[in-house]
Parts: sequence; structure tokens; C-alpha cells
Amino acid sequence: MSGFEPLEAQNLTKNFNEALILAILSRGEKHGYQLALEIEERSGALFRFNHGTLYPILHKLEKESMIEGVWRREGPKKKRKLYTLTKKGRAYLGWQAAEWRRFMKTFTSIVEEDAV
Amino acid sequence: MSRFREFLKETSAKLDLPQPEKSRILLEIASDMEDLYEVYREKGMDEEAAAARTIEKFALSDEALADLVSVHQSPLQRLLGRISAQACARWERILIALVVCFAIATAGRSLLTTRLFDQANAYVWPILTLAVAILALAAYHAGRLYILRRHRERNLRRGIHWILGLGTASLVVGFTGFTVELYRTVLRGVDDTSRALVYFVGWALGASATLIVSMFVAIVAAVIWFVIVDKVKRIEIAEASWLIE
Repeated sequence: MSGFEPLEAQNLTKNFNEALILAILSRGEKHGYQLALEIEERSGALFRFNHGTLYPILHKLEKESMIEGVWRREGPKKKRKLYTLTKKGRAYLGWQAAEWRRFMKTFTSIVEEDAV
Repeated sequence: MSRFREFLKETSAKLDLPQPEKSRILLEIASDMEDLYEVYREKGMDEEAAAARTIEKFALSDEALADLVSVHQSPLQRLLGRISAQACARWERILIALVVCFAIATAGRSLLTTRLFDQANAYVWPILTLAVAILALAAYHAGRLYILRRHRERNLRRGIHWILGLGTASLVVGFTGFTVELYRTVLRGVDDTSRALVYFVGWALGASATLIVSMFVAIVAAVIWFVIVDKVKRIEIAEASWLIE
């Protein structure tokens, strides 16, 4: 048992958003706005992330110690919050990837079978 | 950040969180908005279009706002935060000091003698155990905040509400002892009516002594909790003003 909430039809959006954020953070630390931009860029604008919906997800992941947010001074007046993936978050990302593979395989097999 | 001031003011009004959480969230949004605005400008948008696009991207729906509030505070924490926020004025502090003085004056003398503890019923022992736990927790948090000054911890409030919880538990134990012992006394009185009054007086003595101890422990716990939460709040506000400066 991983201890993580299983991927179910009711929590797909939540898991989808969390997996995308964790995947982007696995490549290095990012600001909140950079996460949304990178998700949009890397998906060829298929996944458009509203920045407003990003913060509740980021803060929840931070509270659950999946990611860590640190304030840094950038320049004399600028202070920015940077997010990094934690060890627990990396484990969660690995679990998410496996769950999504299983989910997509099942979904595709049902849809393709009926589409033929 | 002046170009987004109106947007941030509106968001602030809708974000039902106490300080400094609210300031931290608004500062994060504000700094990210500035950066996204610069990205749009670099892409060739004029100032007005870049600002409008940024605001559109950062629009927080009512659902997102509610999610943010629930992430940062449980309903109980919100209630406790409001209670501790009530007593910030000088006269309110004086009122708290008067309550403490009153509690010490009325119960303190009795508590200093062993007679009260001899008279109390068996429920006084769990109450005293709770009192020891409250003092240990208070010493830990006081050491952390006043002596070691570990003010940069991620969650300064962690574990502080346990002090209030243990104080409440002492009251619950006191009142449980009061009713359970009353029931047992009544049963004994029914079995032996000639000594019913003696049993009743014995119960009244034990129950009142136990309740004095439990209420005193609860008052002390509440005061300790208030002082520590107040200190944490000051540290957090100082940190928030450092972020916003």
C-alpha cells in the first residue's frame, strides 16, 4: 500500500492537476506562475492552467509536504516564493504516474473496444 | 504592484483568512502577477493588454477561494483564531489579568494546601496529570519562542492548540467525576437511607474540591494558550511585514 488516495473517477481533476504540477517541479524549482506557463507550453496549449486555481493546489501540496515553498529575496525589492519537490512528493509522483498508466490503459481498452 | 492593486484589494476582501496567512497569499499572487505581466510584455503586448490578460489569468473563482481558506484553516482553527484575535486591546488584556487574579485569589490559597487534594475524589489524579502535560507543553513552546527564538519555523502554531485542548479535557474530567460520583452516591443512599445525608455531604465535598482543581487548571491553560498564541501572532505579523516591505 502506498498510503495515497487511489485514482478514481470522482477525483480525476484533482489528481490530474497534482500530477502535472509535481511533474514540472521534478525538473527543478519554480515560481507559481512558471508552473502554469510551463504546463501550457509543454502540452502545446492543450492543458491551460488558470493561475487562480493553481494556488489552492500548491498550498495543499505544501501542507501535505509533497512540495516545499521558500521565500527568497530576488533583487533589492523583489521577494518570490519558489517551490521544490520533496522526497515524499517524488514518491507521490511515481505513484501518480503508475496510476495514470493503469487508468489510461483501462480507459483506452474500453473506449476502443466499443468504438470498433 | 500598483497596477494590480484594485484586483488584490478585491481578492483580499473575498479571502476569509486571518493575518498573516492572507498577506502571504496576496504577496505570492502579487509577485507572480508582476512576473507574468513582464512575460506578456516581452511577448509584445502593450501595457494595458498585458495587465488585462494577467488579471484574467489570475481570477480566483469562489470555489478556488473557498479551497484556499480550507487548506489554510480548519473550522476549529478559524474559531480559535477569532477568539485569540478578540483580546488585543489593552483593556482586554487587563480584563484577562483580572480574571487570572480572581482565579488565584479564590482558588489559589486552597490549592496551596494538601487538604483540598485529600478531599477531592479520584478524578483529581487525571486532572493533575493533564496539568503536568499542560505545563510541559507550555515550557516547550515558551523555550522555542522566547529562549531559542526559532521564529522561522514553517508552522509556528503547531501543537499550541493542544494546551487549550488539555485545559478543556481537565474540565470534562472534572464534570464527569461530578456526575459519576453523584450517581454512585445516590445508589449508596438508596441502599442505606439512614446514612444518605453523610454520603451526600461526602460527595459534595469531593466533587467541589475536584471541580475547583479542574477549573483552575482550565483557566491556567487558557491563559498560557492566549499568551503563546499572542506571541506567535506577533512573530507572524513581523514576518508578513518583512515580506511586504
